[in-house]
Amino acid sequence: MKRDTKQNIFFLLVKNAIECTPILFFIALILNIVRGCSIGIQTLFMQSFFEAAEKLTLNQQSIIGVLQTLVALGIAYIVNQLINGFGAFLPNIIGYKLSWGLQSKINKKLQKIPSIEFENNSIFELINQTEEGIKAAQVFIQSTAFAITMYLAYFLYMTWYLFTLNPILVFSILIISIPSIFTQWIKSTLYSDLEDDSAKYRRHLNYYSACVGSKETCKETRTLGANSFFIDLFVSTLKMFNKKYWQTHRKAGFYEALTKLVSVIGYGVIIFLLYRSVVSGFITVGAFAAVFSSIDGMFNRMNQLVMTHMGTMAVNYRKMDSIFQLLSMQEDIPRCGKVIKDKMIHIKEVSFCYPNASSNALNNINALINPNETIAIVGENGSGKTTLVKLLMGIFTPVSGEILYNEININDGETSKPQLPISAVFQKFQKYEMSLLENIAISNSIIKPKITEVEQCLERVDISSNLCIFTDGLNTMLSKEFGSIDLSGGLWQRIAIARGIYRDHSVIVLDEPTAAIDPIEETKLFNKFAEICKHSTAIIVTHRLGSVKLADRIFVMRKGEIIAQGTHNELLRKCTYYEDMWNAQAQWYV
Amino acid sequence: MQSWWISLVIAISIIPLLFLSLKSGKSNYEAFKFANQFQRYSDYLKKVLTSRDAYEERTVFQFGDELNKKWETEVLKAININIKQQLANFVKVRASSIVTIFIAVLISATFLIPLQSGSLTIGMFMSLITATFNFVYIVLWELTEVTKQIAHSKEFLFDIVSFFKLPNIVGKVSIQKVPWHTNDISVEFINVSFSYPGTDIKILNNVSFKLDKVKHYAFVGANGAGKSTIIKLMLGLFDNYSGTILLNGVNIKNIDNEILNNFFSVVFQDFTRFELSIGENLKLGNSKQTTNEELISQLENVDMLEIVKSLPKGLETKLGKLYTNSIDISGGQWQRIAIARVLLKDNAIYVLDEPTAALDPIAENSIYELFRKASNKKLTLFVTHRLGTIKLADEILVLNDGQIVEKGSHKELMKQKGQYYKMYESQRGWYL
Repeated sequence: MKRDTKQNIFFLLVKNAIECTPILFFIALILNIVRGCSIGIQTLFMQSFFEAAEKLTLNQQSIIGVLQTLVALGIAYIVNQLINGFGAFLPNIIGYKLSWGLQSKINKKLQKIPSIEFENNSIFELINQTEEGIKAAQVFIQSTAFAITMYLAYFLYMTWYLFTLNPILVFSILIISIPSIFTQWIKSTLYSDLEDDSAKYRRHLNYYSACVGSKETCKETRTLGANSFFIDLFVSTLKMFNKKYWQTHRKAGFYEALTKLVSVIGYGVIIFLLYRSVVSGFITVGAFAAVFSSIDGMFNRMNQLVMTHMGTMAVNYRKMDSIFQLLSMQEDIPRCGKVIKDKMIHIKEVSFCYPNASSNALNNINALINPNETIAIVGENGSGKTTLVKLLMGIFTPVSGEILYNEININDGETSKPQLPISAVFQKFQKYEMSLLENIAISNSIIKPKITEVEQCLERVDISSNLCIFTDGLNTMLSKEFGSIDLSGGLWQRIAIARGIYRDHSVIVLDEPTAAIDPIEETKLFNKFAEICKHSTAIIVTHRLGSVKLADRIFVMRKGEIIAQGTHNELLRKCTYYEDMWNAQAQWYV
Repeated sequence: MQSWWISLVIAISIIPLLFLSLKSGKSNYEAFKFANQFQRYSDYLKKVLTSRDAYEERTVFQFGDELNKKWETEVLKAININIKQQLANFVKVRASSIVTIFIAVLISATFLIPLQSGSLTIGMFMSLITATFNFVYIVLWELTEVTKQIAHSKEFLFDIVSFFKLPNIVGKVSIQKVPWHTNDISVEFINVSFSYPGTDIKILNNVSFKLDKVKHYAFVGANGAGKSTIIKLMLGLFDNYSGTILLNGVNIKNIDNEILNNFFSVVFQDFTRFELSIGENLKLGNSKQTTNEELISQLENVDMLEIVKSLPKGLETKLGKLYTNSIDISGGQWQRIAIARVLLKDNAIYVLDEPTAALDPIAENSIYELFRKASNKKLTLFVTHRLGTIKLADEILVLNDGQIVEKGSHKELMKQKGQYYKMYESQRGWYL
């Protein structure tokens, strides 16, 4: 996987946020600039109120005049409150929209990258990192990006304000901010190393807790009495993770403490400068009081800006990297070209090797599948049956050789690959936690679900949507968590088959289609298959040799090669390996 | 000049603000919970869109873009709930903060008269004003935020507390010891009925049977007939059934879980692929000390030794996808690992729930052969759809609609020409 880390994440993030909600983004931006200034302006109003009060003591000002400045101060506070609220509220919306937009992009991207990437562990680490990355992006926009805008506006205003009072005052702000920025720089390198490790730890932790707590595994873990084993693993991994986390935080804390010390000295310097200014008559007593009362605020805000916000930014910055790494991954050429209608499949000298595997999964395979022929692929576990059908379906691309549908190479095309007329029932079929209708129609989701066709498909696998367990007919939600019912393995299998035949196809792949079905049902389904196979080219991958009788021809696979092909009777005569397999099963029924 | 009353006024003016913050923290949580429904479903959809499990169907059916649209609408629903909630809070909290500022202004105004009369110095005046307004800042901004957080977090703590309050496995009222000798073991169901919580459908309806001695039993029946449920009840995974289940004459409700588990070795139909090392996989849940020689001999039994030896790290090799150097093995190989684990545990009762579904015929036969040898002196229960292989069982129990409808040896049942006969013949047809 190629990783491009040279992109400017900040720029990309802002660009994405603007794409998601352009108007809100700019309103929030302006509002936060105004918000920053309005905090500064309070100091100005405070100054004029104090000056008026000072004049009151000298009887140079009426009490009404002082009240006016007080009311002005109150209004400044109220306006600030409102702007503050909106300025903090809008970024939340933008944050939600941004995380939504980014995740959607990632979802779409994952549909486009070559399927073979999903055989690789590193893609899952990256996907896991993007989850954290998106959370980070949301936090970044919600509380960091606009807060930084606001504080920058505030400090610009204050710099200007102090400059007009006495230019020397400006210096001290600069002096105290530099060490903070320096620490942040150190922290950001610390945290980016931490993030690399923690993605791994998180994945492991999630897995261990799933072993104990998830619906799929808890029954086995309990029966084995292995709960404590996983809890121990969880705890020891967590301890390692915490140790690493603590080390990083301790270092970061040390640098932060150093900085704060420097800042305190700066505090003293400012007070001294203020004192000198007021004594030498550069500024009024009112201005002195106003500035003095806001020094605390300035220090707090500088800390917030540099430590909290820029710090969060530094922590999150690296996390967000994964999002754009994933989005810049190489895409597969989309399969949206010409639709191939023909059913003749020619496999020409095809070899295939999984990434990081030392030997070929398939070795120089040659075969021809005629239109409307039914082919059974048999062979021992790990012989390459499933890999071969994945290549035929265009899920993987051969390392060498060609797969031709009616003499068109299915993996050819510069901008688009041809669309295949293929459907499938997979060995590890999905149990979608959706309605019955959606579970079937998902195989052809480009068009609106056709109710009558869905009903027909269900009928073909002997399910009726009127069945008493489907309380809402086609709209019954097939999920315990999100709705009503959970089905037995056999029913799920039949739904998977209905899903396969609902998709428009002239070639269908059945990968161990009846593993979970009882004998009577199995026989019925085998007969259904015979029917299904009549109208299309069919490829059945199976361990149940009885079902090969459905096939016109059988491919016998062993160690990545087709060692024999022919009809059942031919193979019994000429292939001893096939004969052994057949007898292994048939002996039970003699 | 005394100004104690000022702090009193401010303190009182804070009360409605605190109250509002607490309330909005709580309603934030409620909105979060409501939005969470949509969030959870959208998380599920995201899993379908991004997980490894679904990529084959995603590629062939090409539903990615359509499903992503659905994901987008679900997430938007959750987002909109949150936004509405925040807007409502915003209005409430800001409105009350204006009142507080108003009070601060009034207080400041009262200082003007003593200032004018000279009873308050300008220095004192300035520091009082500064204190008042700083105080207002803390109250308006920090206090409301913190209070809201507390209220919000408190609701989450309730969730944690209620999780910990979930009942533990119903207390074994009187833990009894289970009398046991190698050759004398029995499992008995007496009038057992069971429905899944929240449903009326009886998965098991008044089932009674007794399995004893070291015989081999097989459960057969259509999908959904209740075979797997019988096993789950026997293992003590559910205890909300009616009737009695006895292990060697002791009600399993009175048997400590650990002891109960140590009676059974189970291979589940949907066995778990534990992403651990091969060695850890085999030793999992095994209280006994196991030597590497034992591990190796079990791997040899299930025909995995050659494969394990070919791996550079041997028994230490991590399986699955969890670690960077993990190696994924095929479904059949995973199943052999699961079987080897059971053989290693060597408990008194073997339960095999469709143990060979993912295996090729030759491997299947060798595994059956293996089980036959290993279970020679065990009470063994098979659940299977492959009727040919259970011919050898001492007794076959046929389940239909939650009841046992036929019982007997293969020969007896074939003579009866009932349901078993029908099933067997339908499968045999393929091999003639």
